[in-house]
Amino acid sequence: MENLFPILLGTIIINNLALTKLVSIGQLANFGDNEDQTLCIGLSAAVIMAISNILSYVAFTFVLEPLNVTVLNLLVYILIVLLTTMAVTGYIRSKKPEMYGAVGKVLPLLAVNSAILYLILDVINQGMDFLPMLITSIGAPIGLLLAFILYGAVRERLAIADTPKPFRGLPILLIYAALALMALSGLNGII
Amino acid sequence: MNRLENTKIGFLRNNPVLGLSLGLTTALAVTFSMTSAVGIGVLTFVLILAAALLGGLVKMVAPKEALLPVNIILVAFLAKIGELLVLAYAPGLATSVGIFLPLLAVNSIILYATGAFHAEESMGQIFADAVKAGAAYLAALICVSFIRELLGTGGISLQNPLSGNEIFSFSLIPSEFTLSLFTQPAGALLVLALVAALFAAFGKQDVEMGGK
Repeated sequence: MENLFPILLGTIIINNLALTKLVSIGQLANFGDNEDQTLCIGLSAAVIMAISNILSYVAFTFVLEPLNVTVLNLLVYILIVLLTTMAVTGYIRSKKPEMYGAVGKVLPLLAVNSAILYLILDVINQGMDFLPMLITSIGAPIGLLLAFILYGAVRERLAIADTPKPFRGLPILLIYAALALMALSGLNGII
Repeated sequence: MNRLENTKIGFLRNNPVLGLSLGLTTALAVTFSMTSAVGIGVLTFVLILAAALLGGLVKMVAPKEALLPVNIILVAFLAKIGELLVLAYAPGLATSVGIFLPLLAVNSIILYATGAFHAEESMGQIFADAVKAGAAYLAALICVSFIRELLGTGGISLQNPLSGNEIFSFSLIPSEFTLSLFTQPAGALLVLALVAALFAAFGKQDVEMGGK
């Protein structure tokens, strides 16, 4: 039990996928115009990540590996992520129509979020057991949500900042990402 | 991504990776050495051409609402073929890039090339756009990897990814003065930001404020 807490803490902060592994920055830098939209997109991404990671692990362990068709892995994972994304999009469309009107165009693109596929491939490459995989599927989505909220806040602050003209838009956000990464690398070795 | 619908791709202005943040993950992860950047850049270029061709064919049969999901699966299929080809013919490249090779399946520039964001355009127009986007992507990758490898290791050593033979190499900075930061992830973000700012300054790009 005592070695599960470090996994949770590690996936949320120290090895936060979006902040330390260079994945998903294109989406973090572009999606959501205000706090509510960013929160909605981040929560959807976290739910998609958690569900599709567990389903992909099950599909790999009980279907692909016993049948010896691991060559189909990418197609199966993408299909699982795509179906989960469609389910989450449908849920938001039925429960929060006004929010769907604002973010409905970018929600389907969460299916090509590289953090989600990175987590799936990484968990299966490491050959994790079921319980650590379950903890990772709880921690990593919280980390992704944290990254979405952080980037949203930074973008709102940068909108009123006097940035040099060539740096406006993506470049200044990448510099922020570099600083965040260096700051987080100071936490390496705690667990 | 909404603004992709009415943006024209260019080299300096609206470069796909430096201006529009398409395929940023791959661009950040593979540019630590020029060999892997050229290898993955050429692979991505080929996949973009294949995606544009197949995407145009898919568009003839798929309904408009299903275009995005169908194209995502198409890209995953192409990326798997690319991964298997690299594993077979350039195993050195596959080991150095690691997990970012299968991650080409969620590379948004290949998805862009299938025409999923331009439902109305003709096949020829999409193909021309895709060639331009792929070439601009390759150029950006080479620029970023050149600076990173030069500052990080002091020189450039470009090898043929297929055979492993050296094409050319030189050394400029003595090894005591190199900054290994630039071969690490944080250096990738910094160099990409600086190159993007440089391209934007030369291309006189009017980016909306706040990175939207």
